[in-house]
Amino acid sequence: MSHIELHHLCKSYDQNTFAVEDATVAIEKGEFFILVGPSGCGKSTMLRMIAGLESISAGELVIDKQLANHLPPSKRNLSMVFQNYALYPHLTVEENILFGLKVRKVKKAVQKQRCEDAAKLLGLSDYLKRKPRELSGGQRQRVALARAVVSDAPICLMDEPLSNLDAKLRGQMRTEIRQLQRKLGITMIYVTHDQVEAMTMGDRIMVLRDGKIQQIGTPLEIYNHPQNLFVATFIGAPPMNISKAMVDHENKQLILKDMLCIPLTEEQMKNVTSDVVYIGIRPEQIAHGKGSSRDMTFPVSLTNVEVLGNETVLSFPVGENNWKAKWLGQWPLDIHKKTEISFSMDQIYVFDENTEEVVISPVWKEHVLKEVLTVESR
Amino acid sequence: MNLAEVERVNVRNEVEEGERVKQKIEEFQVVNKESFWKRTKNVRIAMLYLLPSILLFSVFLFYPMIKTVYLSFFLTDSKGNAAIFVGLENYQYLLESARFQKSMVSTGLFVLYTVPTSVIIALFLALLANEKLRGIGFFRTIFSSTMGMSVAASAVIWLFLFHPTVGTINHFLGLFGIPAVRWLLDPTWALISIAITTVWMNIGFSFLIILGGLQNIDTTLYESADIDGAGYFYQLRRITMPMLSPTLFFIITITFINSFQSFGQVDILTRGGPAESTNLIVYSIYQDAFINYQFGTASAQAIILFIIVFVLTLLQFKFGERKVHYQ
Repeated sequence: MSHIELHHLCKSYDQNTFAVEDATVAIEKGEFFILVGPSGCGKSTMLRMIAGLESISAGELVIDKQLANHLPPSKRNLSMVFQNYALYPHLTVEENILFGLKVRKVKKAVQKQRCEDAAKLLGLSDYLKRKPRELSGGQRQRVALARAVVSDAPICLMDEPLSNLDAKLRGQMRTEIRQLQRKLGITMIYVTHDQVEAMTMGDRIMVLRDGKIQQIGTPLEIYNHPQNLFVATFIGAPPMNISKAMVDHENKQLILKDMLCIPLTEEQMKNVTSDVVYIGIRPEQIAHGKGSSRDMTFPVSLTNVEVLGNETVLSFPVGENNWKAKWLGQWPLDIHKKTEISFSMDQIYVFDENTEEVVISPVWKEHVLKEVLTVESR
Repeated sequence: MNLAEVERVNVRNEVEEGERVKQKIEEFQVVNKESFWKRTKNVRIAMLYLLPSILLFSVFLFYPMIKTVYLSFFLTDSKGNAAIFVGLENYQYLLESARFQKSMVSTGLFVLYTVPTSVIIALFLALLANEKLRGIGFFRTIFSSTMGMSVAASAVIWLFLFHPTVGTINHFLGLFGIPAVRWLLDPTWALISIAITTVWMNIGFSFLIILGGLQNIDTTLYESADIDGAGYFYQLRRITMPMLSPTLFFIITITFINSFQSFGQVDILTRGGPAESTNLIVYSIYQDAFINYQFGTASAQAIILFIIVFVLTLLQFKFGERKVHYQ
């Protein structure tokens, strides 16, 4: 049963341009749903429309099978965690956590119980009498979470809740939020611009750009089968390498300016209609040295080498573009030296030049993977 | 190990650590070998920037203040020169004088009338003007416009409004069948009339400061409360007022001090009359000094005013600040 449904949801602030256009999606009960995109793509606007903090210009918002377009925020049965946490600086942690319950005139005993439970859950028991300014960033974040937890609302909205934390704490809170959501079984809608958060936390991801939905799917679907050039380059770090290539329809190959000729199979060729395409290859699919005969092998001169301890990121020019490769292990190679790299032709993506939609993508052997897993677990 | 022992060990460790820090600093310290002249370069530049203020304050603030204290211990001649040293007699005389006592009572009443009224009206207007409505900028301008008006100009406007026969206010009251009030001529109404004028003049500044305070409150606090289902007045009481408390405290203190120092409107509207009912303390000082040429008693009054305002402001800080939530 869908918990929240959007039907052609639109928002326009100035009546000339759309901040969110035609968003249609059904979010399941207990799902961790992520809205991701670059800043200004409309993801926060969409979240605020669901919360009722922003009016809906057009389209329908359905919560629990009930049309919620004109419901006030308090009647939508949800909680929200803000980017700056929105803690009341003049109230103690306990008063902050209980603010919503006091408003709803929940019984004192119940209030106390729920506050204690939430504090214990989030490790705040020792800080209940403190003011928010006496807490560290991570603790404030937990207070904001506790406020969402005590409300007992079946839906929780989060607007970039981790962006004010340092990298280490962010990693920790990522796991904590995910575990919390699983434990409480709430429906979570989570806005972020961080693709790592999107990939690691979400059951499903919606990628947005300029107010339009680019793709909705599980993290692996988004990663393995990006529907267009934007999604391909947005998800993945370092991003997918992209270059323009000419299509040689006669010889059934793609020609990358003076560098490469990539032969295509008959079947793949059918999908390619235009004369110019973008080809893409993930950095982790580029290997060191000569590959097998089916692989493309060519020499490049390195412009940058970043050794990260467990992996190495190399940069090198390919045609007009700068490509990156990610190799496992430590490769302290000299800059400006020639080195040989290769990638499998099965791993390339091809995007149409005009529509930027994907026309060829690698085969994703999901069922094989699943079979292996089931065999192993036996 | 019991608690006392743990405490002792901790203290010892702290002492040892302190020794270690001192030793290390002594060992590796690099002494600044620049000359005194070079080292104080920043101080000299700072003084240069401070010089205009120091000069102006000295001439127009510090010197008059010290001179006032000095004069308050003397009887003066008609030119304001100290003539005979009388010690605290000026103060003694004042505290026994019925005129001064009446002036103090009027001033007290005046402060009581103006401060709460100004702040409450300004707060109300600021809450209205803080709503996001079309054309709200127009109202914000109007509400803060009295800030740009001189005391003299506003007093003259109110002089016309208060006129017993042709004044707009009495005319307006007449429409409802209310008999004409002798605003500035009746001893009981005169102080109220001056208070009304002062409140009107105060509103502009207070409004602007309070509006600024309101706009500084993070909107997500209200959004969060909206989601929790808190109503307007609940939000006003539990969020707006606490968050606004530093601003309110500031504006109350300023209005309070300003009220004690009101002079212009008294001079233009009533000249301290009728029957000295509006003889506020600053006007009384002015009369003593520049009409009666009693610079000694005038100075003593000024010092008393200074002490009263100083003490009341201190008390305000002591007791009022407990209710203020700084972020």
